[in-house]
Amino acid sequence: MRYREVGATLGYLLMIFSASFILPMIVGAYYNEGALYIYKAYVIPFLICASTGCIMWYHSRNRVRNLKEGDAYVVVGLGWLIIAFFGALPYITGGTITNPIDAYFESMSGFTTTGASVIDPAIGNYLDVYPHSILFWRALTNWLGGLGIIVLGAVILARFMHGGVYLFKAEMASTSVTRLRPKLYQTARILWGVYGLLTALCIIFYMGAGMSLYHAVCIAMPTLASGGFSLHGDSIGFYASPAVEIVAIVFMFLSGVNFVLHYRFITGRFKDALNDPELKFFFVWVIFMTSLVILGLALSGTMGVSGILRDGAFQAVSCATNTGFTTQNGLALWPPFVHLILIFLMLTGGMVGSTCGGLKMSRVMILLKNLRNGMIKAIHPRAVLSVKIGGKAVPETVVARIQILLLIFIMLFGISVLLLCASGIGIVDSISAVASCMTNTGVGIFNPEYGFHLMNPFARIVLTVCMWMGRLEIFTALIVLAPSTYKR
Amino acid sequence: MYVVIAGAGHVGAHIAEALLEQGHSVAVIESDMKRFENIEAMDVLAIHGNAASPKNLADAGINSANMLVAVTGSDETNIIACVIGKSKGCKTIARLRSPDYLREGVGTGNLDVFGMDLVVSPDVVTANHISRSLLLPSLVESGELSEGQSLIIELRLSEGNPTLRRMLGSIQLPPGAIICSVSRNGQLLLPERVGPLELGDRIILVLDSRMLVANVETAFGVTKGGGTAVGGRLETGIDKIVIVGATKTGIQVAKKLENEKAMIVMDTNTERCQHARDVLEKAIVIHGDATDSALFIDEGLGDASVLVATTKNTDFNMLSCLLAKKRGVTRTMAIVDEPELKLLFEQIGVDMAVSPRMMTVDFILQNILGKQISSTQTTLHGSGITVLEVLVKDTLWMVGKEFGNIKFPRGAFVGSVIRGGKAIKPTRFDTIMPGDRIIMMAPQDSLHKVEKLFSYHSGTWRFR
Repeated sequence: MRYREVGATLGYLLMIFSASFILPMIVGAYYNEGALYIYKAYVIPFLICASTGCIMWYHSRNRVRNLKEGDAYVVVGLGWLIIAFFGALPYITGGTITNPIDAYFESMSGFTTTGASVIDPAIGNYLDVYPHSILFWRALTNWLGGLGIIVLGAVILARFMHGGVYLFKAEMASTSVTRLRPKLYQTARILWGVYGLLTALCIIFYMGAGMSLYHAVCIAMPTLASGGFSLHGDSIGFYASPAVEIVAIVFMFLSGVNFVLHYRFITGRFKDALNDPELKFFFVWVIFMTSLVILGLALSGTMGVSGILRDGAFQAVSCATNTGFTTQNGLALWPPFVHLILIFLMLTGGMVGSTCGGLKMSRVMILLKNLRNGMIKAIHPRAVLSVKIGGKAVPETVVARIQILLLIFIMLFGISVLLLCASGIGIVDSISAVASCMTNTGVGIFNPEYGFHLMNPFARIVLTVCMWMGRLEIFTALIVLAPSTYKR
Repeated sequence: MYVVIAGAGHVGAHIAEALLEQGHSVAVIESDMKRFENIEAMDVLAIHGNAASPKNLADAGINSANMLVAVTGSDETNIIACVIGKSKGCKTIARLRSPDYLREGVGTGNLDVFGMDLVVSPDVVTANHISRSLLLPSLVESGELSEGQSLIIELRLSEGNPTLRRMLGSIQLPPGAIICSVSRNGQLLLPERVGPLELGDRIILVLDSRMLVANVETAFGVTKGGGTAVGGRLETGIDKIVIVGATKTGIQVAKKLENEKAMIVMDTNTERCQHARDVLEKAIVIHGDATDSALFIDEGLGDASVLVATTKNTDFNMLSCLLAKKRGVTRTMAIVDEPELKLLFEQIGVDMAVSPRMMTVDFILQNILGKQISSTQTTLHGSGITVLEVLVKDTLWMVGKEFGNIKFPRGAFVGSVIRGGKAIKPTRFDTIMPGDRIIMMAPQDSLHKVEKLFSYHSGTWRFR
């Protein structure tokens, strides 16, 4: 790793990122939250962030051009940690969440689109307690993290920065990104455009379903980012409106679809978009699992028919796309069978190139097909086999990499659960908390009267790391953590 | 500009890299998995598959591309790809190796018979370069400027040169030749700051391409045997040339010069010898090994002026050059496969190493970039100096300003200006006029700053 190259690039990214503090300032001014609060909560972080970026950039400004692949992993890995740090400042300086560990947890949960919150849901309507602007900032962190904040920075800075390809590879994860244009930053610009367009659509639909503009914006951003921050302790259940839930289900599902397919669909290439094997698999998978959830709820016999359909479908889609919205607080009372299915849905995740977390559908497909190949190989030892997706063979190196990813994922999962248990949290709560954070879902299937807001600081730190690793699909995070990266 | 490149071998990858550096968009089609993975790491649209397939070409965006560069290993693939590209309205450039696909009378420019915009034959390009250098004995490297009107050359001062320790100003140059710079220990010096010339100095000159390079060399006293121009023909002290390897390149070189010089072509392969015998008229073809000392003495090859090793085997080329040098041959040239080996070859005693791949890349890039943008880079491979040539358009911000009023990046200076086809040395008070071609000398690391300086046009502050 070369410190100055990494530092200069991070400096650039921080300078760009500091601009995002301006939006909550406007919201705060609109809702008359007072100049002092706005100054403390947003102007100070803005100045700190921008000047830090400036100093880092200025210190080694002539090295920005030389970013190499190894450095890019460090930029992305550290970048998420640092941006989450600056994103936590408004909570601390504004006085809304004063404990630094809690604020960092909240910020990381926002940027990684997890949506796990330290705010006590018993408060009810958060707007009664917190200013509008800070809740807007929370939703905004979700949205910015959705398609990857480093890539967003790289797209804006494409003219000045080199090595963008490597940043993409490090952030957009192990599977290759389908390129719509010869230059990656052009592709990323298109994807962000599609993302913005869908968010705007979602805002309009939410307003159509009866929300105010503020609510629509603050819910639509987490919906498309598959984040899960909401404005009330009851999450979406607060609105008690079937229309809102249907809009949420549709847009949560869309957020789980590869944005390249959205682009194809928008530009009129319906056939290309709908014939995608991963999309078909995702669709069937979600329908199948949703019906299992509904079946499980029906067998338990504790809820009415409309409740089963509405809550069951909502919760299944919310977990499958790693969003983490809920419609009711009684999740803990659902049968264990349903809990397990929901956790399983979180782990498998949405499609590659979406805003979801988890393992991702195409990897699940490859793993399943590889499993079948293994069985064929047992019967026909000399068979020459390949894993095919959509008629195209997946290179063996990719298959091997996915298997390694799964293995590391399981290992880290086990270690994190162990650490949580060691800090005194029950086994079920530990497993569900880690699953929820590593897949960036954010809904915890806890024992009644338990939640992220009650956890001890140690567990929060462990879960923060889990969220960070999960968002970077582990490899990038491991590179940052490996001591060999820092040897010259 | 959007360029589709078919084939990601050495040449394809190098071209892609250079185009990206200039900010162009690039798509690459490659069928080999290893190469595909390498190219995928670059910021290009990479397609895995056969480059001649219309589907793959469509995936690479041939419909919206401005240019197709076909440089796969197979001539046929290149031709088919270019035919498809042409039908989609692209400019097409193909690398073709087999003489069967080239127009007769090779070396005369347009080799194309398929309607492509440009055909590059590595053998022809290399042979042209070798034969040009053969006629100009001490010339280290040369390049063309302003689309062939002018020539930039680099002379190296070796031991015993009469101009050593003399001042540049005291050297009587023929009219039309301008000294741009002197490169000393890898540093580019302003001509007026050079002081007494030292051993190993490389003098960079710009001159009219119709002028005899030999005259310049005489002025510097570097030509073996004086070098005089007789009726427009060059007499440069070379009389006997040995070509090792009856390859396409070897035969090309022999063909070009066999009427003027005593030419001996050697090869160990009977069939290739017979082929050479059939194609060549005056040259003597010898079946034998150039490293065989008995044969060397028998044929009297020791008194040859130049030995050119053009076999496909790089190691053999090196060996035959070094042995020949030991046995008395004055100069040796070798073909190297890997561009990286070129400098190494020249360090261990081969006088000039030529990489056909590098020649192909340079040739294609000059043709792509030279026409699209108003600045061209010419690299003198001997010293690795890159010279930037900028065509001044009438919208350029510095038109009408005096040279002395323009602040160039540190270390960069104007080598020469080609105005109305003539190279001149501008003073501080000369004004910049549209149509000028400014030859900029700059250290490698500030080249992009110089290019940027020339990219601002009046009425706009945007990058080109």
